Amino acid sequence: MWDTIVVDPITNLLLLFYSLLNGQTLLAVALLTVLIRLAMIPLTMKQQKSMQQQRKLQPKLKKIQEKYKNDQERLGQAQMKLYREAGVNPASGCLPLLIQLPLMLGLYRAIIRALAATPLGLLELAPHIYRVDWLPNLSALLPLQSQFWWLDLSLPDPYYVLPVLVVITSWIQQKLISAMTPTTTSSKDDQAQAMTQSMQITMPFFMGFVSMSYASGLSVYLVISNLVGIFQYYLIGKSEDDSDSDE
Amino acid sequence: MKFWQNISTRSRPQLALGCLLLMLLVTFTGCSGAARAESWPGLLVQEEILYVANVDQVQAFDSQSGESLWAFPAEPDAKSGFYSTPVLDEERGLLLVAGFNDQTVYALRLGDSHDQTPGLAWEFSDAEGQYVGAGTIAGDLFLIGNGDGKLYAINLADGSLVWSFATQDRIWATPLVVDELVYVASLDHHCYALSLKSGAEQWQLETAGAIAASPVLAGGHIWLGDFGDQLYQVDPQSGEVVWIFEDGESWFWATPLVSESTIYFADVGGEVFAFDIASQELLWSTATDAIFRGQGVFSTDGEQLILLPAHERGLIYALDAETGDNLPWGKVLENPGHLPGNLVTDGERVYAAPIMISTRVQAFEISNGKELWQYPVAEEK
Repeated sequence: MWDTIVVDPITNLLLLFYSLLNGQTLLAVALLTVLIRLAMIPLTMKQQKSMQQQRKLQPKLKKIQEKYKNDQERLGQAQMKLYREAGVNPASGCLPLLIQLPLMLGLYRAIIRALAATPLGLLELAPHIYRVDWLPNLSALLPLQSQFWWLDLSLPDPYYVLPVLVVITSWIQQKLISAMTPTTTSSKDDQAQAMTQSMQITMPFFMGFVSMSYASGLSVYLVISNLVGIFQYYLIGKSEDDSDSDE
Repeated sequence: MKFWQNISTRSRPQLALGCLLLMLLVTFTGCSGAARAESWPGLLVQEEILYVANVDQVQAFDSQSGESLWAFPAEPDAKSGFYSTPVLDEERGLLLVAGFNDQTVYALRLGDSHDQTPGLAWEFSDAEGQYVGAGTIAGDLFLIGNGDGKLYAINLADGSLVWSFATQDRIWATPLVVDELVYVASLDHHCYALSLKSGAEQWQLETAGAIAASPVLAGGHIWLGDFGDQLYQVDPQSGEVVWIFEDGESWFWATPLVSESTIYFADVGGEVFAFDIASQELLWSTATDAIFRGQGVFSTDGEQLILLPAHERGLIYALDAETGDNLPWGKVLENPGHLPGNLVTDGERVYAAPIMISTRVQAFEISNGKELWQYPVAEEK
């Protein structure tokens, strides 16, 4: 089900790009990553807008938290009333996330699968390739040409250049995301803030570990995805700064 | 729950994203454990000994009883990986095996008795890629393709390199030697004819797709199938395509079976084709719901094709060689694992080596498919 709806279409799109780009695997991965990230921009913007609205309510929320600090039930009711009056749905930030995640993970799986370097990996890929008259014979393209400079895109980077880039770009992206989420003085948020800060450090290194362990084609995806994310969050942050100064 | 309530709503999506990504990535990372095989065990049966490149060891079995005779290396080594079909050099008493990850060809000197553990005669480690396909012996040379895209011609006497020939992609197919020419198929969409003596290229043929199946000689022509769903009949001297079959609908990966007048191809989509060798006429085709990757065998009387499907279905197919009809030999294995490797037969038994299950080798009665032995035996698992 997951394969049919998400991974297979992305895998075949990757092969189509590979065909159109004259067998350039790296360019095909890069193009697909950029397109999918661009396609997700409206969702990201919606998520950011929701966060922005919630941030504007923070002063009022703080007052409510102070007022009902000993009564959780009344606190919840008051918070919901505030959201309702402001026309803000606190869960609306999660919906775009639920749509983005399968796409990102589908892209990840498609790249790993399409770069199959072993006989078994290639045989497992075969049934997932579309065979329709209006498309070129995508299965004849396999296995993909995986050599690019020092890299065999189907194997981990032997010189760790890409894992280092993955760590750096992941860290910058995490930093930009957290910069958009202002800190509060509420003690109740301390635990969450500590966890968020911890994620800022652990996530880039975890991504670096994944990059070291898997095909370097996946690292290309991670670096490009991060760069698009950095550019996107930079623009969002800049526009927020401009609107704040206007106000 | 209280922790979740304490987290402000603006922090929740970010935390949820991070946690989900971590969980899913850990899950995917876990999918690549060492137990996963990369290819399929190569089998060779000769003089009542079954040799199996059995993923983490090369093992020898008594083909009748299934008794394990010896293993190389003595302790299983999952890191090196053995898939390339062993090749027996009877003249020199050598068994040639090749490692997948350690990129080394080992010449094992067989002992006087079957159960004597062989010693190492020489090893060849010039290659920079993985060995998948089997090698071929031609005179004093051992020819074997490698994942680095090269075909290596190794001196059987001492393991020294005589010549090598570079293609543009991995070589997974077994080279074919006819007279003084070597035919080698590559994943670079080409089949090459080389001089056996020098490795000099004589001709090359570009195909629609990668070639992973070994070329065969039938009726004086070279036959091969590719990942472009096509079959080719080629003049062995000039490389000229004599005939092409373009009606395939899936990859041709299994090495074809050749009888006196008919050649049989089974494809990854589960279709089996029989062609008259002389006229290239399609005699019959049979569609199944299997995935055929490995080479099948003929029954003892040559009237049946026995084919092994890939991947978890566990139904071994027996087809009438004359008509393509399904025959009752077909057998459903209780725990098939992944079965895409080649079958081998000694005329009495058919041997298979599944992967990703605890059973590593199975022997069946060739006449009716009855299981005769398996390794390890049930109580040892």
